[in-house]
Amino acid sequence: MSKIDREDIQIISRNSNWSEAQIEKVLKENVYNNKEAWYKFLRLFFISLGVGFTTAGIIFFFAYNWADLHKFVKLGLIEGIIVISTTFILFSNLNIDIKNILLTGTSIMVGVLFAVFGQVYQTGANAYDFFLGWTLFITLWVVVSNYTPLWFLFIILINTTLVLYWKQVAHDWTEVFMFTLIFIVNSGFLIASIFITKLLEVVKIPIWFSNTLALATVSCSTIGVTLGIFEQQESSFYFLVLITTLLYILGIYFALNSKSGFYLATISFSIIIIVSALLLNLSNDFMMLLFISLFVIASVTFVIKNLINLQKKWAN
Amino acid sequence: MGKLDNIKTLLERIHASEATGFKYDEDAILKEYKTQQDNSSNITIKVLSIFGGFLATLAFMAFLGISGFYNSEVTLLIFGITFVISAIILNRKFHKLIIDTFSISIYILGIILIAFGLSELGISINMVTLLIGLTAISTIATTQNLILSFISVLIIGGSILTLIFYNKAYNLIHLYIAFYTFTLTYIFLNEAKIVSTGKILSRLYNPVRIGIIFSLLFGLISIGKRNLIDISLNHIWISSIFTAVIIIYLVHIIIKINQVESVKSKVLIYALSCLWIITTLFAPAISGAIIIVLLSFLVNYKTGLTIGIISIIYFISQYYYDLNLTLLIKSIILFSSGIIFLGFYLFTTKNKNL
Repeated sequence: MSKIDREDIQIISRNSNWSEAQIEKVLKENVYNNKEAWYKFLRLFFISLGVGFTTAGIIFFFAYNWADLHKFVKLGLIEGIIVISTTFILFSNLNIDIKNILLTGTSIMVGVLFAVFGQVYQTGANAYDFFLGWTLFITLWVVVSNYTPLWFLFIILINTTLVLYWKQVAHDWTEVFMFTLIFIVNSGFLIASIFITKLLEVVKIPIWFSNTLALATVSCSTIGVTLGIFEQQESSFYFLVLITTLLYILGIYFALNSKSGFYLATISFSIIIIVSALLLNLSNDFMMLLFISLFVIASVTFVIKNLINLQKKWAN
Repeated sequence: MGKLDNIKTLLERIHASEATGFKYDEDAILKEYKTQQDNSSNITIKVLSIFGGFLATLAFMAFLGISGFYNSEVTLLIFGITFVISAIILNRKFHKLIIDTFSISIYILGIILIAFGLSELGISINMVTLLIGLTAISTIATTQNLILSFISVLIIGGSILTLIFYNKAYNLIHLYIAFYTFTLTYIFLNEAKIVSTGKILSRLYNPVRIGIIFSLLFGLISIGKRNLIDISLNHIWISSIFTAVIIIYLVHIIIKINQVESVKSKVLIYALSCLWIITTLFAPAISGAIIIVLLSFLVNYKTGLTIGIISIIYFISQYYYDLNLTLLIKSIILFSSGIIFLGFYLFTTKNKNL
């Protein structure tokens, strides 16, 4: 017998005289988490918060002592922590999840190390090369551990490095070009992660990772194209439109094959925003705005209707 | 095995387990299942319809602004009231998911227009806020549509906050947090009771639960983000009292679920929890977020769990920007919290069979 879920219980209780005590019992037995689940959850919860809080405490401690400590002590202490924790991770026989969480904490310490280095040698704490260094020096750990949150941190760092490089060095890059670049980088990671899951069946990438990445990627293309529509058109805009079109087609094809409503919804909503921007660029008198609001409602409703139909088809 | 067969087996099982005569309306149950299956949606579709609704509302507001309708208060009011009423009627008449985007748009729009119209007429902000709050309450009473009820719960929370902020009664925020923390805990822990009370409450259960989580988050953000409101830091621990009571109560429940028997373990768990509560005395937002996580995990509510985890990360980072405390104090608080959690971790690992 398949699992009873919350919806079942609610529907039955609405149409019967099912007693509170019995509902409570069924909920506890079928829906709520049991002892086993609690044990797993609490372990992960405590270690994550423990490592998180402790790392943050150490970071704040250094921030406090900034001026008073000798530079050798500052750098030495942080490097010491990094060496100790990596050695511990390498040679202890802890559970792999715990090791990965520790490694993520250590990766953040690498960032602290670079920040301190930047302060000591006056290279600035938010220079792009600080993030570049941080990214480069955790790359090996990211690849070896293959731990999703660490990959997530890695991708955030790459994006930050690029944005800072644009702000601090590459002044001639336009906004549209910047969005094109981030779009390409993030979609590259997304496609790679999807391919790897397809090729190697042992590798399982959590859905939150690919969905967040997809959302970030689609946001880049949406913002880039929308900006491009209102600005003077340049060559990178046409390039962005071209690769966005290609990737959206690929995305829809993939979504239909892998039965992912999320990709379909995200891509459709992006297209709806882009079309609204196009319409607004044509004219911004009040009739056009009325038309746009009706267009949004109609198109979103259309997308939802089709998504529901598709889901029904997939369910059978 | 199909879903419907599954339900029939389930009904038979309940029938067997209930001592007194268990009566149910099989046709009604099957009919509701059919509607549910026809409108089966997931979080993606719900979010899409809410975002679509917002986008359309935005465009329509721009339309009203440019077309000059804003200049007439009466037009605004008439538009607003018509929109709100039609949203409610649409939802009562059609139990279809696809009209959600449309009804959400006109509902939000209606609320905004009523607010604008009333304040243009010279009615005081307090009065306008009260009226908006009442509109939201009556919406919940008349339609139990998932998304409309959810938005109404948010509007009610928003109205209370507006009243607090507008009247500069900032210390009342502690009452707000206390109220929402207790309500949230009550709703999560008394699911069976609420669901079995009646049809309306049973339908409202899901939207109100998520709505209350967000309302509590609004309150937590107000005190978690320093300088957002003018609240004395010396009094920020007041909120912590309420969150502390709930956390200890939840620890009590969790101990029961995990069948911790030995007195020594119990004492240690309570002691570590109290220590942790002391370290977050000045960060009630973090303990509030932890309550959301614990409650959501307790009843296996995944959306709540995700929201809770994201807010924990947010509130901890926000703490960093809190410049009223010196870095040393922050460092000590964070570090000792971390050590307590590591203590909990070692404790759970060592006592696998508590």
